[in-house]
Amino acid sequence: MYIIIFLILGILILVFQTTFLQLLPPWLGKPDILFLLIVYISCQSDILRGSVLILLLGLLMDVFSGVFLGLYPVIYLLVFAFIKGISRKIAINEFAYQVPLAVISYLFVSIGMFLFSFSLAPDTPPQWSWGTILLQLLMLAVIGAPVFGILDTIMNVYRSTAAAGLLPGSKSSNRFK
Amino acid sequence: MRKRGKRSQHVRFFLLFGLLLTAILILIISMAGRKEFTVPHKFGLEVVGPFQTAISKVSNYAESFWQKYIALLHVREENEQLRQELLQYKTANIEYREAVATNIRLQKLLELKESLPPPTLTAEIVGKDPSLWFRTLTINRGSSDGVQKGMPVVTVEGVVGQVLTSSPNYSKVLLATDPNSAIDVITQKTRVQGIVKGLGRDAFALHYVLKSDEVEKGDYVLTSGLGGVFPKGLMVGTVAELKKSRRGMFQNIEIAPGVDFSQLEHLIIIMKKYSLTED
Repeated sequence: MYIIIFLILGILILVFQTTFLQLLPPWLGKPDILFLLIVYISCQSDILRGSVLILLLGLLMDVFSGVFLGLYPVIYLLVFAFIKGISRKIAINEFAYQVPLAVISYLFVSIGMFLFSFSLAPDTPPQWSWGTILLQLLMLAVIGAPVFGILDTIMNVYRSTAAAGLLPGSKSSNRFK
Repeated sequence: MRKRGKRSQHVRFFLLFGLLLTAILILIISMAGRKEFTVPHKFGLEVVGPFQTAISKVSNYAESFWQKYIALLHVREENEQLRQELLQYKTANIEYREAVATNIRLQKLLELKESLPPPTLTAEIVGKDPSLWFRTLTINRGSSDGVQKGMPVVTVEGVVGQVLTSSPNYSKVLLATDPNSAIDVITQKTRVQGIVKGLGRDAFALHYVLKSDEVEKGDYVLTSGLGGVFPKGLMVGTVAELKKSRRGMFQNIEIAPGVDFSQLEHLIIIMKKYSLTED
């Protein structure tokens, strides 16, 4: 159920990004809310459910963006592994760490996108533009806190509903019931 | 004892994580670099496509609403009745103007459609690429309409791109501004041939033009018809910048696109019987 809920949320965000957010003026950049969801899932989910969810979201992103199939799942799973690795040393589940973590991860993703695209099609290398990347990082930093706040709310609603045993397949946490 | 238990828990954790990641990476690498949609990809496009169509329509309506009505919010409050009448007339006027503008646009599209080698198909954009790295579009025509990989996509102003892949009802179009796009072109005045490639922003680069070739700033760049994908004589853009560096055989030429890629609405797909861009 967890995977289905967050997959539907990912689809809605992707639809929002490919339609509504495309109306924003180009100087505002392209706010990548789906990427914030990827970071949030990486911080909050366990390895099995998180990796399955991120794989599915990566495959979905492949359908609507880019030229090389498989690029997004690989990059997103590497982000997931990176965040899971860090989470063993730092308490990144805390709200304060998530925004800087998203910004740093996005920089890694940009480098990964550039290198993968370059290696898959060396004749047509992508253009690296620091201006655009920095604008995107700034945009993520600005929208990061409210988006993580909304995702936290959704997660809390999900957890409380699951704990009450209201979701199919979930068990009530009340052992004395 | 507890320490050993904790260590073995760590080892199991890394082992599970490593195995899982390896399996997933093997799965993904096996399909990395492929440009054809598999069944799950097609399924994904078919599932999300209708949402995109609906949201796209709502967002277009919201955009036009925003542009047409928000400006009227600050009109003075005196003479309420007259203002409301004026608003009604303005609304009607805007609708008429929009209808006329749409009519003109569609008429031009129809004229272009008639001038192109048949058969052609009109399509509407339902979604745009959300990433910084690629330039693609999703359109509401797919393989059930006869759309195939490699088919050229154009508009009244010129070349837009070509079909990258399609599902039964939707297709993904690679824009000419994407770095992975290449079009065989010729300059109108001096008849110099070259290859136009996307720069990842709203500009093209004209490649393989020798330093000895004469190219003028402002000259029109048209499709040459040599690549076999685009018909001859379609507008690609105009020469915007010329640079001759000391090194190398070729000139560095930047082309300003004929098409305003931020204002795309309706597109024409030139239906070719066979795709010429098969790998």
